[in-house]
Amino acid sequence: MVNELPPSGDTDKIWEYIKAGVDRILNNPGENLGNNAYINLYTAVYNFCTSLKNSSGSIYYTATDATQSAHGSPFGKHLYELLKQNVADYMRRVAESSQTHTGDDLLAFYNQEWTKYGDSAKITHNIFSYLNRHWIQREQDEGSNVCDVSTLMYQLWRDQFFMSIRSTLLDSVFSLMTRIRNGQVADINLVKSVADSFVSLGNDDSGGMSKRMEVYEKYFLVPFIKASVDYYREEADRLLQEGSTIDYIVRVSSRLQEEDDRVELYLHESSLKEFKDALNKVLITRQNEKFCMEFEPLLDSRDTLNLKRLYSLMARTGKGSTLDPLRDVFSAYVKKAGLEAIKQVSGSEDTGGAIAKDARLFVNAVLGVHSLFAGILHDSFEGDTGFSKSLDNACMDFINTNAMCPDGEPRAPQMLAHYCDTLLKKGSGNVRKAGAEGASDEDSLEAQLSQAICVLKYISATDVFQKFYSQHLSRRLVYEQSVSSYGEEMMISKLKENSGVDFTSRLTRMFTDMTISKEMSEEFKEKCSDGDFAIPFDFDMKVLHTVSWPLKAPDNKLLLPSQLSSVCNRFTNYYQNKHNGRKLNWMWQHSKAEIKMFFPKATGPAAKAGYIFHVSTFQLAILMLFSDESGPGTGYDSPNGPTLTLEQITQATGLSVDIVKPELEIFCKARVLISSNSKINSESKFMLNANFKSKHLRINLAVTKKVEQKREASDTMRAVDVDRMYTLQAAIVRIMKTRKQLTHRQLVQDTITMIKVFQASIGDIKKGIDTLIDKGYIERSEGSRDVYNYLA
Amino acid sequence: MPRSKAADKRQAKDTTDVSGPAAKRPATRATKAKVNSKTKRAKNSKHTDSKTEAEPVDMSEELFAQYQDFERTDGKNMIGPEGFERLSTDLGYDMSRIEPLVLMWKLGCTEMGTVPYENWTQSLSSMGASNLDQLKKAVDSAVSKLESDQKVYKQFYRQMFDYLKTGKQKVISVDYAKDILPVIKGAKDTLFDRFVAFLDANSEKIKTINRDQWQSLLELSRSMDDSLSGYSKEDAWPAMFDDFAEWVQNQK
Repeated sequence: MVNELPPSGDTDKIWEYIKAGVDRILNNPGENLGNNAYINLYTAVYNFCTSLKNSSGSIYYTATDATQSAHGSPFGKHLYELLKQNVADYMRRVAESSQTHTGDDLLAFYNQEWTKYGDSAKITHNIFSYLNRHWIQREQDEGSNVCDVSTLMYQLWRDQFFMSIRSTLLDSVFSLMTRIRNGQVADINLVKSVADSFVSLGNDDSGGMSKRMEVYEKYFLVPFIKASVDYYREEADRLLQEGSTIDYIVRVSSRLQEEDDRVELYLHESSLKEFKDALNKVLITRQNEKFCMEFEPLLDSRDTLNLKRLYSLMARTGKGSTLDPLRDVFSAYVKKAGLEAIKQVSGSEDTGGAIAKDARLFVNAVLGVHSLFAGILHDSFEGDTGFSKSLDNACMDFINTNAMCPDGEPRAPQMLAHYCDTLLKKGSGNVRKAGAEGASDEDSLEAQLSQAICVLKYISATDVFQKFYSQHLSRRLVYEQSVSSYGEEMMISKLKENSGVDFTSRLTRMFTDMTISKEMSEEFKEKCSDGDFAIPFDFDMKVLHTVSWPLKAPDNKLLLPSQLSSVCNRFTNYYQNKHNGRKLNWMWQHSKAEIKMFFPKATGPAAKAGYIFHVSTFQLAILMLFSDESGPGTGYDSPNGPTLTLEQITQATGLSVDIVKPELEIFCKARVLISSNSKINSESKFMLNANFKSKHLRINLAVTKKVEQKREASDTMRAVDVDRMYTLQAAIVRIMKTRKQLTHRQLVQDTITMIKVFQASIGDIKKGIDTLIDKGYIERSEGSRDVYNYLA
Repeated sequence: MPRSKAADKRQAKDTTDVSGPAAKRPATRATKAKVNSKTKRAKNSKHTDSKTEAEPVDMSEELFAQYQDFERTDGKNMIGPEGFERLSTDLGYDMSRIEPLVLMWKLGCTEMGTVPYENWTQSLSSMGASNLDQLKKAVDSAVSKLESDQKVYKQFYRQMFDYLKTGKQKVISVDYAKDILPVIKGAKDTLFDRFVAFLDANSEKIKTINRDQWQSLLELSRSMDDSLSGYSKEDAWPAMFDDFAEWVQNQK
């Protein structure tokens, strides 16, 4: 500084000194002021403010005026005004020189001045800190509209310069952005600096903190968004005119991606959402209908890439209700596809109603459709929960009711249970081989079981599935047909995971019975050999607890051949010694045997070794009659052995005609026995076929008859119905117990919600209510008949 | 028609009695005197601690004795079905009409056609009746009250279920219901006729009616016209009425 610091008291001189310093700072804030000059200026401000009179000598105030003194001298206000005037002059000069610039040039000029001015404001603010801290502070405390020096300077920038050029400035911003959007190179940082300056300019004087961003929002953001929207509206209209919706989707996707990437480089973070929303609106929402129309064709062509684009576009405007129309279309589409797929397989092969074949076709069709759309859900819709729900709903719809599963008949769970049975049963390897090449048997089995569980998730009547599954499982266990215990256990643990412990507890107990039976069988055999009793044949038994097994106790009494009964009685004794008080029923209808028979005309190995027949115990009892010399037959002198009438057979075996007749039909068909007349009736007589011959040494005669299968299925369904009624009543009682009093509709609603394993119908619930009223668990409320009371 | 029902019941009772109480019969006669003395005692005690004393001519005891029937009621102190029928006839009531049922109800019968002594005295005194004329008046006014007062009718209607059921059974036979419904129906209960027709049409399927169904029938009749056009399966009607409503709607 050249000038000496003027002495205190001479305010004119002091101001001149200060003005020179301020001008220097404004024009060249980068130049180092130096400590001395800085301190001098600071002191000058102090001196000015603390002056008692002005240069002309007039006294503004006397020391005796205590109140005035407390407010500082009027020179504070004087200095404030002088500074304001001076900076305003400077701003006008800047505004003037800005006139010579346009376009990017103007932006560059503006930014340069802005940076410079920012520095100036900071330094000036500090130099005037005495004024800031005293006069300004006091004025502000009293509520006057005075601001600190830094803010004052930004206001002057805004009012004296910015307001006059802001529209030209914005035009330059727009033109730069347009060039960038058109693919030309331009410096985006220019836009950022301008935007930042707008942010720093704060409010429009009127508001407080709440409107801190007002200048930016009002003078930058709003016009900027409007210009951007105009730009893209025009582009959108052009795109749609020139190309297809798909082209549009492709182009807009990449456009929005560009904007997303770019916007963070220049826009204030608080306005990103507003900007994006505006673009989404002009580019996406306007075309929602077109997009929706495009959706189904894209599904038709399984165009996952464009589906993904379409989804991403629409998801930008919110994943809520905007996507619902698509979700509905998706749901309906999947349902239709599912129904179609099942319809095709239901007619493609004449299965003659054989459930095993139907089951395989059905499950495969379901899985095909499900995995296709689950794939699309994953690849194209990012696993969106709404779409996932649509898929689930659609699957539930088409899996439970379709061409193979008439409405109201729980055929789907039945078929699924059959499918599981074919997977887990020995000798149906053709299904399992469908697994991927190279995968081990166990791995492919596990994969297929998982798929079955996937279908099970959509089955509405899981109780039916459970009943049939346990029916099949019991057969596999009793007849030792399981493909592997590993497979069985795997499935049980999967079921437990999917449906809970309640679902599998009974099934697990069946396995326990099997283990115990095995141990018991060995112990019994040991006991026999210890007691010098030789079992005359291979004997094996399984003891099954009635509650755990879906098998009915026999309703007919079989008179065992003596060879068998000796062993069976021995076992009964053994068991009853072991478990006193338990009742042991022999379930002959589920037991099997092998019998070796020699026929005189047999040739080859059969002549020596005889034929081995796999037979049921009923069949065994019948066949044994023909070798029993003390039996009821006559004519033992005949080479064919005894000849027996139907009545003799039923009497000797204790079995009813209904059971004996079909077995005899099997024997006659296999030509093991010969009947006196082709159609078996009470007059028929039977004898062994002495001329029996077969290519096979082992022959299975214990085939499950179709009638039996059907009867078993309907028995199982009846068991399901009974269980359902109990489940229903239990649910109603449980609800009423907690609620004490409930309206009919609410009770029906709650019951439906509570029961998960099947869909309770209103009619059934009403029947349940009827029963419970009858049994005295609940009553109709006196006075309002649609309200029930719980009776404790 | 109730006549036949009452007779049926009586006969059923007779036949079941045959096996056991052949030996008891003489005893029954012997107890007659006993019962009479009991009756007198009851009468005496009643006269000492009850206000009926003030009434000039109380014939209620005599009337009870008149219709009591030891033979038929196995010696119990009650009016039996036959005695009840005689009483109804003496009052000028036609057994195939509603009046005998109202009489039974007003007499506090718990079972059809039998009036225990306690119920007899209590009911008569609460009706303020001590002779046949007064009793007839009370019953006649009760009959007309059934038409005018829905609440009273409901009580009466509900009581009918207990008359129709046998012993500890919780249901009544459809045949009894079909007999009694036309007799007891109010002027507005044309739905009862339809219900009877429905029961006829489904006689293979529906053999019994439980208390809830019985009570709900009256509610249904009083809350809907007989085309059941306002019926909804979603409402709290017994499941049987779903079939009934469907049947009614198919009749058109």
